[in-house]
Amino acid sequence: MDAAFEPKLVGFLCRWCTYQAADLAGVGRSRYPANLVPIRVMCSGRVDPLFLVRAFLKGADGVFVGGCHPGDCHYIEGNLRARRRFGVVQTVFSVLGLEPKRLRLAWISASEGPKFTAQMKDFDAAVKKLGKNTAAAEVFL
Amino acid sequence: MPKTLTVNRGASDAVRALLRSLIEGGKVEGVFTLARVNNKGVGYALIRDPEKIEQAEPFYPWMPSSGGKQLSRLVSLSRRPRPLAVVLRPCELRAFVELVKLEQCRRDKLVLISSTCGGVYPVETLSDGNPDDRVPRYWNGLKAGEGQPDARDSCRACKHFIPYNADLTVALVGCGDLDEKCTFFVNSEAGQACLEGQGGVWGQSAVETEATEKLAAARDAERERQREELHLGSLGIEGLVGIFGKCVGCRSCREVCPICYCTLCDFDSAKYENEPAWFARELNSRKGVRVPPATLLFQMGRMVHMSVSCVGCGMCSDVCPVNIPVATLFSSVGEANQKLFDYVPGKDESQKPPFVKAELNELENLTV
Repeated sequence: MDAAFEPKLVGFLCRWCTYQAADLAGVGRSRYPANLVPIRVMCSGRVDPLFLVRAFLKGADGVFVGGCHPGDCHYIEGNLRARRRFGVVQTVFSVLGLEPKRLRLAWISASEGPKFTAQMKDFDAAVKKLGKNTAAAEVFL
Repeated sequence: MPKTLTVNRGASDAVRALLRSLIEGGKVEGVFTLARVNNKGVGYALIRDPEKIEQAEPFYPWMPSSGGKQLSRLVSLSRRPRPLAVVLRPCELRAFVELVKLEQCRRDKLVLISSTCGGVYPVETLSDGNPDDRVPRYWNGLKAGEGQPDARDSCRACKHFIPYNADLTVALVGCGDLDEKCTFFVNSEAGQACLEGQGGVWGQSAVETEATEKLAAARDAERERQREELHLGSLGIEGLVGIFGKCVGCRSCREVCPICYCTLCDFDSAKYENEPAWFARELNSRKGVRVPPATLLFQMGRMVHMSVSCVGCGMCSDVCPVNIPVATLFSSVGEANQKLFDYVPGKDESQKPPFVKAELNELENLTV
């Protein structure tokens, strides 16, 4: 493992919960790894499974999806649908030998700033262990 | 156990006779089946003229396109006044049912006739000399309950060769007396109504026989062998680039796929028309870029979008101009995804496809 390796993380954060938790973490001066590129979506259900594949092939070392706890979705069941889609992408990754651990789904409500920080630290460490995404340097995709 | 009707005719002749009587008796408006077109080649056709039924080849061992997809285009969402009789292979039937569940067409007013299936030859062999030379070998294989060694990969590995949701099932696999006798298995009232007035001996038995079980076991083994050959679990990016690197980007796999029903595919949309700035960015980050780009994105994109409904018909491999084992990859991925949701595409008409619904308490181990 390269000690200087700083993973590139992409996060699709639900506007009603995880994105606000990230804000809350900021307001509370709670530090989390600066490697995350947050992308605000209206709902985790907006996350087309293709987004995850695309981010991965573009070279993201880890892709994160943050949504509301089951039952709390602003649009009733967007997060539940997101979970099904996420499961499919992770299964595709497993079958093709593509390190499904580079994809992560977590439920973080708007009030859980510290949980967001902890999640990000944990994900960052986990991806660091996996090392660089080989897709980043692959030309013939 | 379903009721059966055994008639003293070869299987193809018996089905032709049945189709003819359905048309002549006014029970159906027309018949959808594989047929010889002016005695040049075979394709799906919608027939009403009883004389033309003689050209029908319901069990011709090739699949020029997925009949499920073609049928779905004929029976879109508006109601038809009179029924059609339809002959499809089990995988085509599953594809059709899957399209019904995805609200692309209607199931009602159709008499679905299917058979236990010995597989088909790759479509490219249709232009290898005279295709009819292979036909007797195919039927002999069926009688012995064996598949053909040169059948399509996906057919040799197919375990769903006994149809689900057919009104009538014709037994072919392992029937030694195929040339003289034909047995219809009645699975529904509509199927029963079709057979009213047909001569023959009524009985009762199961479609599953020793021969079908033997064939299923042989195919399970072949499926495992094909997957091991691809070293799926250890592919990674490098392996995938190795497999899909030769993709010419023709998109034929998508065009023939019965499940890819979108009229405008995401990959045909403007966002994939890469501008010079995009290439410049790629050159900066990767120091190079494949042209045409996004091959792996397209293949994986299709996997995440449709593999939960993949019926493993094998059309995609069949039409691939550079012989990428698309179907083996897609059916492996598909099977894993279907296992996740305990789902068999095209089997149970009342079970909704996985992307159409979601449960509150499920898949809890996916989140951290």
